[in-house]
Amino acid sequence: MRVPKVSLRLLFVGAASLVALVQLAAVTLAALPPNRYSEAVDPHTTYLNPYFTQNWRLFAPNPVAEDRSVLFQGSYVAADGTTKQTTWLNWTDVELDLIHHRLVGGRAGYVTNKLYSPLGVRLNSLRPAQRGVSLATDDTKPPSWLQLQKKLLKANDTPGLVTLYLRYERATARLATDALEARWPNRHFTAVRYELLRQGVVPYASRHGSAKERAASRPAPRRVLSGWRLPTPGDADERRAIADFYRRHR
Amino acid sequence: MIARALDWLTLGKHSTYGLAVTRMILGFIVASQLAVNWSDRSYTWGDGAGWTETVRNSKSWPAFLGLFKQVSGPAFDVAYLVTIVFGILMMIGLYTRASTFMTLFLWMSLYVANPFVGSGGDAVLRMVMLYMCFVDAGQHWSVDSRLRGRRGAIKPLMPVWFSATLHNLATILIIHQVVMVYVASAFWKVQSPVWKGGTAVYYPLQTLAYSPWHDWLHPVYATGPIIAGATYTAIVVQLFFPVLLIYRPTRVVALIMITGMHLGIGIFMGILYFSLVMIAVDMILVSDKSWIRAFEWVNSRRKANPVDEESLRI
Repeated sequence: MRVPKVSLRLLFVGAASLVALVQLAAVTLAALPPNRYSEAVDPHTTYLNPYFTQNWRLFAPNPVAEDRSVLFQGSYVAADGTTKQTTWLNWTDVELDLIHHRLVGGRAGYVTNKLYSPLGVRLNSLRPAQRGVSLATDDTKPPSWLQLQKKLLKANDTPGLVTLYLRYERATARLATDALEARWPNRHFTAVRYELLRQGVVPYASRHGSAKERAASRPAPRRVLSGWRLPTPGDADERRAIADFYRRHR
Repeated sequence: MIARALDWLTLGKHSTYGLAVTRMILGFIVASQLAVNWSDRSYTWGDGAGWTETVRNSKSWPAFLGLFKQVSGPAFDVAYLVTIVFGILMMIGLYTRASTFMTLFLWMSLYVANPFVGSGGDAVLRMVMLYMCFVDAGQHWSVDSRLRGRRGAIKPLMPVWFSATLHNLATILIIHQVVMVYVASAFWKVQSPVWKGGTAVYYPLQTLAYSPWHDWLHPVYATGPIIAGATYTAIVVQLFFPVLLIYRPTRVVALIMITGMHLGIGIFMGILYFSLVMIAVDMILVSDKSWIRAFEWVNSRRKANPVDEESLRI
């Protein structure tokens, strides 16, 4: 067997191969479903995140089997001085215009589809008392973000949870405000809120029915309603971009 | 054995034709995707994505990727167009390594501008593009190779063994990454009763988000054997993909099936760019010999049919 002499070339090849081997092993362990080996080396594979995050499900283990929508509603003072609420604006439907009957779908077609899960997770992570606080808000006088934060912490002192929740809540309220202003540009909103709506698809066993029968066989929609939030508009450029998007895809 | 491995790593660059094809498709993906999304660029990544600020600022991406978060209006448009230009440069292979690096940098800067736009395809794209910065993807079918042919090769700064080692190790990492995508997802699939029951493909095809042609193609999606065939084919091809790569005949079958699967996913589920990324990376697995044969066949067809050649000129 020919044994190569130690040289700069050999040292370099050895070092580069070692780095590649470590990366290879880390990617393998991080990609496979959790097992005793991947859990054992978990602290050493954290360097993979976020650039090399391995999360390859490709519709597994459970493929997406429901339609998920994010809807917005605004509360405003009408000309007669009374407080009124708009109809629900299904923003996911607006975005889906970029997907429907298009071979190459627009990337913006999935924005609220991707917002849905983390927003729901943050909402569900609140303690029951905090959940009550987040819902018990008045559409004529919603709390400021600071007031809401203080109330949530008073209900249960979990700063980490509250921070994470408010991060997504605030982003969603801002999109809601911009979207509602795009839909009803002349209304002065006093509060906004959102609804997360999910509905299972036609069950496999019902797939041969008529369109009416298939629609009737779908599970009932499930709704999660947020509390009223202070309108949180973005800057003029942001509002203009969202209004343009709405005009193109409504 | 060590000496053979050392020679394999250091004496020459492997899969150079396959990498050239991968480079062209990835560059095309970046450039065309941004061109297709031009009218909605602002809502997707620009000023209209400002509402995501509280979420995107909490992500652990490095600050040097903040270009598209910091520019707006015409400056955003210029940066967006520059990204398209670099995608094209990567595709045609002009200053290949530099244009690959710049495409990656600009694409990633755009990607982090909206945390609710990324997909699995983007994840594969960024990982593969980073590895692509270490390979010689412009050795064939590129403007660089044409220029080299005309003016002659420039003396490299580093010894051949240095660039060959980086090239070959990065190629291994790219192939390993794509294999892991298939194998990992197959491992998840075989744990699921919906996949084992042969109905998994039916469900996404019923949703509004992953079924752009649902109203037209419902009779097809309601056909049990088609759904079962697609479901089981996906599991088998993905699970046995690395094994099928070992022998040439099975490799050909695996690549045809996986490409067909990706085209199916891309067209029927509306995620064409994810599929294109995977197809692009799979092209590395076609041997250099096969690419050369295919190239020669195309050339011979063109020479044998001057009318066609004429029409190509037009």
